[in-house]
Amino acid sequence: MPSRGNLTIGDTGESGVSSGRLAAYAGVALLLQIILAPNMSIGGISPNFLILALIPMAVYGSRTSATLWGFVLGLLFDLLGSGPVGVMALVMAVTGYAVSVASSSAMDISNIVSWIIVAAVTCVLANLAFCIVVSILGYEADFLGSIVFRVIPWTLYNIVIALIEWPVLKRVFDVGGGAGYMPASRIKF
Amino acid sequence: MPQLNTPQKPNRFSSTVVLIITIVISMVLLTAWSNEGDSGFVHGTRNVVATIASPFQYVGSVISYPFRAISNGFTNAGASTEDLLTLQQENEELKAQVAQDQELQQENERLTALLGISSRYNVKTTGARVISQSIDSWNRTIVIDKGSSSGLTVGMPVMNSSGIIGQVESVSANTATVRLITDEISGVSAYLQNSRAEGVVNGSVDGLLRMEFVPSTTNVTLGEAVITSGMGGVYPAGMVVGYVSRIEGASTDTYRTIIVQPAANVEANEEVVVLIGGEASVTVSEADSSSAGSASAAGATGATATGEDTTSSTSGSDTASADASSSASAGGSSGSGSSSGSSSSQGGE
Repeated sequence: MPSRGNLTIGDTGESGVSSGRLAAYAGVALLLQIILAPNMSIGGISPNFLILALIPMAVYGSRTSATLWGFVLGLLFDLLGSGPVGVMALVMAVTGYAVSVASSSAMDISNIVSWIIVAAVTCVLANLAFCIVVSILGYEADFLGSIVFRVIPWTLYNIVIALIEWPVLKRVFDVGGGAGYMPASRIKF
Repeated sequence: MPQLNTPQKPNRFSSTVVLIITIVISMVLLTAWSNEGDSGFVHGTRNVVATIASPFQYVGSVISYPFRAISNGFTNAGASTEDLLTLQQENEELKAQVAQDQELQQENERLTALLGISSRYNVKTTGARVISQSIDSWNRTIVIDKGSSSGLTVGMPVMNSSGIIGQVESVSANTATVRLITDEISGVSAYLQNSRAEGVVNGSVDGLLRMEFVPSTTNVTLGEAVITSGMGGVYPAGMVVGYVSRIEGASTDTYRTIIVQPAANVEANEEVVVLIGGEASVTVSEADSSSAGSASAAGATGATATGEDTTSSTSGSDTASADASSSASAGGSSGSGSSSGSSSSQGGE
């Protein structure tokens, strides 16, 4: 059971995690994306630390903050990259919202298996959404090729990163611990 | 308790509103980015963000350097076991001093080769270091440590010592983003050196270069050089793009697709040169000041380089076609590609 002592309602609205903690988590993810991700590229595929950070933020933060963090991180991703600006902001805002909604029903990331499954599904769907948007906009000519050469390898790469991230996740959000934070959407008033 | 459930309603409502607002803002940004020029607000913001991020990218470059060195070491070790053992013994004897000297020597060779481009192509160049790559998996780009303060503008071709690797897509004060020719939306106007067939060499999602719609009647040979035609106005004519590595399609087809092996190692560079103009002089960065003297000399002596010189120096025996490119070799570096029109400017080169 989550410790009510961790639920700082006044600070976070319906969230179980303080805004400062979410901001710090997002900041670290952003630094990793700028500093490490380009140098971890394998065959042109780089991990996306931001989307992996967004998942627990969406699960343990409020739905509004999940959407906003998704938008902000996605926009920064767009501005730091070289593709069209606004696509990843759109995709990650929707992703944050969707993960938050899903976490209010059956989805949880309280153990490593569920975390990996959620991370994999989220990465696939987010990347597919990105692929569809850029294809519609005409920036991506080879949709099938993108699936084969980008979405699948990228998802696999992110799964590996998600495995590495798990201990950090446990520590920051106390996932699976006795005093773990409760997903915001499941907090009963 | 009903009175405690009440606060949740506005939150749910607000989260939906927030989602809609973020979607609208995203689409506005996307529209603005697509329609505005390089000096537009979104592009300007991106340049500011790039400037802010550049110190972190430097840090990443420094941190990753040992790992890249190890990777290069593994690659080099593939030569032969005997060579490896010999090198290991030498390393034990000479230790860090030799390693450092070798590194400096390699760097010197690379930079000298890069500066030689100026004389070969009769253009003004500036050297730059690669400090980062694309942060995402959707774009094949690199970030270099020169920007608008060094005279770089959008559209300038970028090369390494072997051939072209891409063009400048966006610039901030101290950095520039270079879209590689292997990127899906890149395109280079080129022709086959022997058979003279012209076309556009496009990057692709799988990282290969493809020259499509080459008539089947064209006699294409494996290993044939693919040369920039200068038709697109971005890349000067006469530069080696790559060599024919495979021909797809049957002889009965109307058109065939040619797979081009890039002449340059497009995606693994530490230093590159940017072609910034048609004058026969060389601009050397502060970091490369040790080579400035020889660079200036090379630039001066290379002022009369011709297309024939260009081709013969880059591809050895391929001299037949260079005549067509010599006259245009100096002028094409003022590319018109704007970042906003990156798909059009690069796709259509």
